[in-house]
Amino acid sequence: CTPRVEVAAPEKPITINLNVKIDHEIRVKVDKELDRVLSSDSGLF
Amino acid sequence: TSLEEAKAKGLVGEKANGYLGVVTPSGQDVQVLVNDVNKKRRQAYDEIAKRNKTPLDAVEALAGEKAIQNTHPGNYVEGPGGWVKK
Amino acid sequence: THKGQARGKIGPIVFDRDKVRLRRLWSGWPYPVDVEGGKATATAELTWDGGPSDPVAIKSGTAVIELENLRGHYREFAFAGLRTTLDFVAVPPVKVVTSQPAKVEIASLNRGVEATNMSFTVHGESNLQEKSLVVEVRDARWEILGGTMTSQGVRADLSRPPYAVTVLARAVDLAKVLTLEQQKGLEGTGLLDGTIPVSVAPSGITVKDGLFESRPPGGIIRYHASSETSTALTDANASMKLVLQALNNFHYNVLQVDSQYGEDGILHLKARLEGRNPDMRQSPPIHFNLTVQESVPALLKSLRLVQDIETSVENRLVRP
Repeated sequence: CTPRVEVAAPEKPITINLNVKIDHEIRVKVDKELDRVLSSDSGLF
Repeated sequence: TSLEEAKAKGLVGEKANGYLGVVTPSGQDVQVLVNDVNKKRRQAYDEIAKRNKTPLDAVEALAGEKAIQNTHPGNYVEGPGGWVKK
Repeated sequence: THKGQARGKIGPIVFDRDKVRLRRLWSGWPYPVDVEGGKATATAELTWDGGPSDPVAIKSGTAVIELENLRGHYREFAFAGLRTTLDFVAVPPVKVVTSQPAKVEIASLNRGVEATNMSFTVHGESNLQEKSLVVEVRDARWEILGGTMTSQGVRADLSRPPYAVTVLARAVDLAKVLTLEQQKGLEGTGLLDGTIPVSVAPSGITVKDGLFESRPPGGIIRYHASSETSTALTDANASMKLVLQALNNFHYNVLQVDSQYGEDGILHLKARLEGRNPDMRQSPPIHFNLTVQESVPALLKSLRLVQDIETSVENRLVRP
């Protein structure tokens, strides 16, 4: 029998466009607000 | 007992999720103290999360990091393997 | 005519954090630099003609400044282990130059992201009358984010910016780059090479078309978002489900990044990321076209925030 060469159809890649906006400003703000919550005079630390 | 004393006596400690935990069960009053502080912390974290449009668990994780780092040496913090003295 | 001669020596001054700080020694010190460690010595010799009535003209002059293991701050940069010997010679009537290029070594330079083992040579020419200063920096080399940066350097007339310099990056570690983001659940592997055309102007540093490319065979990027974050993301955009699934264990073979960095401090990245998640059996390869914007000042501030906590904690632990 003749060898059968099977060529898988070239997988068509999925293209994904993604826009990422990284905001460290929020982390800095959250960090400051947590400073007040977990401070000695807040009574919660 | 105050939160300061409870920590100094090693009864309570800071957990990685931003809340207080009981290290060695002692009395009802310490349990009430822990529940009260955690309730107030939860309210504060909720406000911060809403105000900064950040997921609550992200705020709690940041709070946990800060609480553990600011814990005075000798007080308890929750490590991967359980309670450990800083 | 009158002749004058002067010979002087300052130091060695041994700086320390509390008592002997540059700002305290020299109260009117105008430059945004403070030194709080290390040793400095300066010697100078000067001969001149002229005197009280007629104008003074320098005949000859030399000066040597020796800096050993200096530690301190320059603006928001913290430096440590700074070592150099600067030899100046006066070229009458009004010029001062370094007699030969001086090798400068800096063990650590940190502004949130740390550069280490920095070395370069510097040569300077100053015309005291025109108040001009031309600085030539050559053979710069430093390590950062696991990689090595080198640059031919630049000859810059400080009074006529901007001046351009190209930096070559070798083997930058993607793992270290991603940890800068301090995003829980985000990690990656792979090495990046790149070229960064930098332009320096009074208003700040800008980069136009900084290009990075991953070294074969590429690497892995993993993002395990917390349940709450992933629900928030997928609610906002349905295709995020596929994105999060792919990035759960994304083996990439192509990562190309084109970066722009403006005076507004915003870093704009255009990245091409190609690969697949082996756990997604029937999925074809996935090609991401990513655009990323990030404020570098905010990133550096949040990095220093974390470091400040660590250094303050360290101090408390160190003290018995």
